[in-house]
Amino acid sequence: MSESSAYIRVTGKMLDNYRGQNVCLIGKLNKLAGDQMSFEMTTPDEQQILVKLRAPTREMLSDIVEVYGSVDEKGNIVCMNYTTFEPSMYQNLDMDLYNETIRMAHQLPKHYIKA
Amino acid sequence: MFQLSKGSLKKILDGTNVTDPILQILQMKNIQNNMDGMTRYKVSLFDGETQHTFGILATQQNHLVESNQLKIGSIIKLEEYAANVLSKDPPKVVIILLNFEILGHMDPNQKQPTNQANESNFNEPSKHLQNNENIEPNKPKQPQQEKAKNFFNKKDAEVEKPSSNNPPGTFNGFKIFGISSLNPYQNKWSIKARVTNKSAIRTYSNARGEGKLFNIELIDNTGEIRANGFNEQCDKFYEMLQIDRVYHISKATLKTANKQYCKLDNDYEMTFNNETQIEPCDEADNLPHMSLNLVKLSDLTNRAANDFVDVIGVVKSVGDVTTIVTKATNRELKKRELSIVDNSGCAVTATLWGKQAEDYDAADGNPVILLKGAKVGDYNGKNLSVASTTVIQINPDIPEAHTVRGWFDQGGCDSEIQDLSNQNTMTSSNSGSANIGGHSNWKFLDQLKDEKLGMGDKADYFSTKAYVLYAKKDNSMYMACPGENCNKKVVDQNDGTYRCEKCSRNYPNFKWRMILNLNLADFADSNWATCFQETAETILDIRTDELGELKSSNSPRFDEIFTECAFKEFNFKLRAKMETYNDERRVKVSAVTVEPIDYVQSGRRMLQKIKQFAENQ
Repeated sequence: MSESSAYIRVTGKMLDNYRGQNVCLIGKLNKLAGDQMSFEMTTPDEQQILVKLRAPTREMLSDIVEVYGSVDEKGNIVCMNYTTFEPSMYQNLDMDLYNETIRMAHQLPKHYIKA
Repeated sequence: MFQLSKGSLKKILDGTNVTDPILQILQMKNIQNNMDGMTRYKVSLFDGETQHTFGILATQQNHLVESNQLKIGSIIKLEEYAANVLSKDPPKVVIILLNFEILGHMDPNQKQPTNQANESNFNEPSKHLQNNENIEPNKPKQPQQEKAKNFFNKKDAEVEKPSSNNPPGTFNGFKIFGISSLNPYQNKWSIKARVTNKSAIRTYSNARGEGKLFNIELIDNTGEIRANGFNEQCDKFYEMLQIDRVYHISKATLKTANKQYCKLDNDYEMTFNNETQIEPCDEADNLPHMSLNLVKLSDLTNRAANDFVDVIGVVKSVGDVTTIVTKATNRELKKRELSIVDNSGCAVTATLWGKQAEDYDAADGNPVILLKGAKVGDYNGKNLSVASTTVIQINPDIPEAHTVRGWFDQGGCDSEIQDLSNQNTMTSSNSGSANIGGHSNWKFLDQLKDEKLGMGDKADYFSTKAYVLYAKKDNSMYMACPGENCNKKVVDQNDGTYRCEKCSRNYPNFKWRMILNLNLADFADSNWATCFQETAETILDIRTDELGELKSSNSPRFDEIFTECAFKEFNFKLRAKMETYNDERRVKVSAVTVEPIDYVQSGRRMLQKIKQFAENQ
């Protein structure tokens, strides 16, 4: 995978440093816009971010969503793709542990492939 | 042309204090000391009249020679020196050049004209005594100098007077030096220093008999030094020397420090002898207090075991005094555990030993406690041990103490505290902590062999997260005695009864028991382990009697049960112990507990391990 097409897994607070780049992050769904063209989610590090979709979503989004997209000038995500999960997949998800893990991976860039 | 201080060398050698004599270096020689491996420079000094061949450059001035600022021919103003009588007969005096200013250089061959008769030979000191009368001091004497002169004469009765009569800058007749300038080659010194640490009295016994000793740590503006007192000196000085008070000390023996016991930054340490004088001193001036290098409790996770740290915190809870028997010496030892918290939101257990454990006043509520030089341990998380060299202060009057006190009183005591000394409560607040309580000693499977677990006399217990690769079906079940508390194998009598040798009776029935041999694997290695009854039931996810029925009925389901458990992952607590079968010794590993994995907990543990690794790199 080339650098440009890699989705770097980040936390909400890191978004500012990744403007114009492709990122991947998970979050808790807060609110789907009436036109189904965007939704707001809370990242594991308690950041509210706006995810803009390219086309209206027609399915029920799960409580936890994983989003792939690029970061625009305002720090919003222009969504390329997203994944929803069965509740059984995330019922034991520990947001804090997830967040810590992403942070550590960024602190040790030598040891982790950021894709 | 420089004006050398004619006659000053003689006065110095006679024990007279001379202020800032101007001298020339005529010779210089590098001498290696085999004892401490330090380079020293021996110099010949010339005062325009006499020459003294035994001067030694204090090692802190060595750089001047190495940078060629001080060389043969240099003229110096000797601002601080020490003249030590190494032997009286033959007279041998060494002048140590502690501090001086380099004024310039002169060709040593163009010495100022001297009266050859005056050139002294220091094996014949009588010579300069004769000449003394003729020598005019070339510097006006200062009144101070006069006093100092008296005091430099050890036999002078004044020495015995109390220290309040000491002229400024002296004690016991000796000039007060900085701790950093003390060395074994000069003994005419005194220091004024604060006691920053005092040990308990310890006893020892060796080939020469029994004895007792204590040690203290001293600090002044120039450095720190450790001092030891044995037997009589122990009786004489132990009570008097109090932590944080200031004392004058003179006449102690200096020797190369044993770095094994002393972690202070000084090449030497001091031993009190029967000539040692110590007196309390009221003027503290601005002597530094204990030099603290305080560490936040949260940073303890980054410290390796056996590191020494300084911490300050509030005693949150106090344990009772308990008695343990040490493994190494079989001695009974008292201990008491304190839980200490600080404003980094962490708690750590600190263990007091022996008398300190008994003396701790548990009724004191939640005092601020300062531990200087506590030893870090990492058994079951981080903890601290109060070693014999650790200083304990309750409610010390330092800014950090007030900070942590303020934090504690303003709600810190009720805030959420991470307990570093108990990893189990630390890793999980909401799930599975009770379930996992027994795990502490996590290993990967390769460590089983690498660390020779089970090879010792005692069984080793450890926890591991591993996959079941294969569960051995053959001989996994046996028919056992149905009697209560008897799980012995029974023999089928083929008459519808089953005999238990242990109970010595025949039963009409039996119960199934499991001995399940598993091949376990993690990323590092694989190993066989045996599971009995309950643990096997967890692995196979079926009750033993149900499995027994499947076996009896030759159900194909029986085989499936054994294949289905492959590649399931569990937390195991394993026991490794050397056992002998048919004269063959091998380490037998058995499962004590088997539990499903709490991945959050496992993830946190892994994260913490990685962080530790990263920090140690």
